[in-house]
Amino acid sequence: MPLAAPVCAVAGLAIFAPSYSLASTIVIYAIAALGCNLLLGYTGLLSFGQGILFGVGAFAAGLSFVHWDVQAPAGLLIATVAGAVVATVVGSLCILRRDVHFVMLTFAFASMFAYAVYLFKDVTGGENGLRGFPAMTLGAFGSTWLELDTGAVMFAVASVTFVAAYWALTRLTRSAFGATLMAIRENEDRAIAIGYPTMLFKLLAFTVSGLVSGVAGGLYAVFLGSVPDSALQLETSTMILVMTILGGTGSLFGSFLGSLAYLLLSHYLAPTWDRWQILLAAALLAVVLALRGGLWGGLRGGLAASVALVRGWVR
Amino acid sequence: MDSTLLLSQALNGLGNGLIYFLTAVGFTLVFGLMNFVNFAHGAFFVLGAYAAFELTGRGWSLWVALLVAPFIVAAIAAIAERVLLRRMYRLAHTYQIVATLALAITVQEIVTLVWGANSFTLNAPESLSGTVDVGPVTYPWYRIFVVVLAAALTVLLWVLLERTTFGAKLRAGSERPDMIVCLGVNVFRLFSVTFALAAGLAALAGVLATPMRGMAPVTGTEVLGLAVVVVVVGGIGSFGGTLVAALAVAEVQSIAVVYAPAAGNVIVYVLMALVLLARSDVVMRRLSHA
Amino acid sequence: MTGTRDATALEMVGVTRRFGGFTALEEVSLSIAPGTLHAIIGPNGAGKTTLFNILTGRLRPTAGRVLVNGRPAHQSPEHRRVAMGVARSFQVTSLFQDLTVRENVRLAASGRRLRRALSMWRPVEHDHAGLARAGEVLDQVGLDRVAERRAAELSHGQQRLLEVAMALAPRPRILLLDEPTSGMGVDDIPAMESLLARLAGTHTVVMIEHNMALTMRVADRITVLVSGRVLTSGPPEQIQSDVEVRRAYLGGELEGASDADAE
Repeated sequence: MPLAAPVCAVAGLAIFAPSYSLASTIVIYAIAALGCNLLLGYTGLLSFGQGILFGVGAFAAGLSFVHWDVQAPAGLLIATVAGAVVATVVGSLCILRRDVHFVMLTFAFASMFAYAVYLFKDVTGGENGLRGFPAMTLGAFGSTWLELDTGAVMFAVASVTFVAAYWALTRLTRSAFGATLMAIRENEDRAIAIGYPTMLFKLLAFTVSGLVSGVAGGLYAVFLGSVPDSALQLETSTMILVMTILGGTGSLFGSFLGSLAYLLLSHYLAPTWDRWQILLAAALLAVVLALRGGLWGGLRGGLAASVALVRGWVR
Repeated sequence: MDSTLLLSQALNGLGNGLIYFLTAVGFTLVFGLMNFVNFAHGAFFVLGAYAAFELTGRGWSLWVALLVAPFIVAAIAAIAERVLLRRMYRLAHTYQIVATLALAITVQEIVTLVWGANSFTLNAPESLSGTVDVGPVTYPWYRIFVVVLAAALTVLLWVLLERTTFGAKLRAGSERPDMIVCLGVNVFRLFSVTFALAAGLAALAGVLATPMRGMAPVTGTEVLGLAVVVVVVGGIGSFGGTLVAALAVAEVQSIAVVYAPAAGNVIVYVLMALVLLARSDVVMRRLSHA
Repeated sequence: MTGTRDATALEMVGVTRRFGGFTALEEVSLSIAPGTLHAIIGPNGAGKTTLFNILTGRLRPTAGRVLVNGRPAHQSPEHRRVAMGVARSFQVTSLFQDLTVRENVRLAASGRRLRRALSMWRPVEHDHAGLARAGEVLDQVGLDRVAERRAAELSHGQQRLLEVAMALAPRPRILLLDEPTSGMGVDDIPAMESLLARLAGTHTVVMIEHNMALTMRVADRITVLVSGRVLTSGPPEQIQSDVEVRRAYLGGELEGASDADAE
């Protein structure tokens, strides 16, 4: 049952997490990491642009809340579309190069968007971020089904989105399209030689990645009731990448584990230990070095692999 | 527009550019010879500065630090290469980037742990403090020294690459790594020495830069970003290209400070993106049909 | 355009390819009849791989034309050549290392079916046609027993067979095999040779090879390429006894030409 994993994950959070707030954050970033993983783990594309898509989704939703007074679902839809559009445009340029040049192009665009937040501070609120949201409600076309005013409801909304995204990506990665992405990851030149227009596939991967990370950004805006400037900064991109790699790029569940690990560490350690990120760095390094697997396709493992290992021992 | 400000900024660009070159050239040599993308290269820059910090803290002058720090860092680099990084040469670039990035973050965290997150500066030696009039501009002696020293090193490096056996092996190895083995070259030693050289140059650049702009653990990331831009624009493995690109990037940044202060780095990245896109297969093919 | 000239399956007319100042191919003309196995031999650096790259669309000719079944192909990019009926194997093994053998071949089989590959919803197991074809090819090539293993786990000889399997999978009219026995040990070569013998007749095969004994046995026609030019072309017996050809190979014996066994 493909839905077992994500459902168990959110159920586990609901039971064990110290607060709904933390649980929601974990789920939201897990969705963003899913988008990142589609590019990195499945297509082999290392992009510093996930923060762009997350941030664009957040700001798109935020702006629609502030200026058009839409309800949460509409805002999320706008975030999703915005993420997909930006991902397609930026992606179409970045995929014109490969390898290190591709990575640098994503980095360049990430810095451009980061700068744009301050350049257009009339729109984004600059350093103060976007504020002034109306009360968040779940509903459509004016009628309200539910007020989005408690942590529990927020967590529920985030979780439903997470499970839906997880399910959709599971189908995608198991489809012929997903198989082609993996072929591109393994050996793009051979994929071209056997007849696949790889540029098209890479672009579509970007679009889907934008959809997923965009909705994560939208959820973030709803959750916070505002959009901080950090949403579109490079640090967000790096954080999402770290979560994705730490959790394991070989599986979708790894994206959840990465977000979980990162945010739990942050939650428990950051208040008391200034340099808690050194643990994160060490863990990341350990994960990466353990992937001695030679070629690119070996970049998986991480926590997800460890979980699978433990499950194997337990049986 | 204030022409003296513009002039002094242009001069700054020259000094900065040469420092960027000394940093980036190591990255491009390693990439060109060993096909190894080292996103931890910025760490050498930072470690050089901190080594100098320790040395000057113990009473040694900056002159000594300039001489000794690069060798300390080169030694660290040689060990890291031998013990860890050598295994990554055969792996995909994307993996190398991820791995060395993780290494860079770890080093940054360790540096912060040991020395704190705050920035520090080194003082220029007594003999180089003070200013001199360069045309209408009053310019610090230290910065002139930086230009002179960096230029001299650039020339020395060129001589090393173009006129010595070592340089010949390095250049040949960059073009045909498989062939130099056949020519009886000890490839492993060549790699180690090149990697150490790259690190030493970056460390030296770090020491030179600190009296001008300060240093903090996070500087490594910024420096890395610029170094990769320089290498990518100048052409991987190209000495001349890296030099021109480094100077161009520094000048763009320096001039931008005059007209659009916060935008300097973004402009650099935009220009890099334009260069990369212009060189893409798609565009090149369109251009050749035109 | 109706009708194709089936008299020649593949044709190169006056193809020249320059890289800056260096001329890799000069006025190369080749004519390959359908259903034959045509070998291209020549000393290292003769331009054989460049020739292949032009035939497969990885490179464009500086001058000249390439015709596939009578239709001009030299402007088509690489990923469209498969649709035109041309498939290729590589001299340096180029597989999808982390994927299974079966998946490698399925991908090759379905490469020309874009709509199928764009399916984002149904699981890949629904690619019945691709999977069936993969099964067929794996049987044909003798890799059916290792179908579920990762390509990286195969022996070198098996990987070379997989290379050819991937070229076969899309039912190409024209198979371009770049040194299929490259690096293969003595034990593995007979399997490749019998595969080649089975392919000749049902497919049009163009093969680059260094293994002379094998080439003489399986080829219908041989073209000798030296320094970017065609030295001569003809049936194996003619090539074997050609003095010019011997001289081109460093004046010595053609390796293994007088030997009945594989080299």
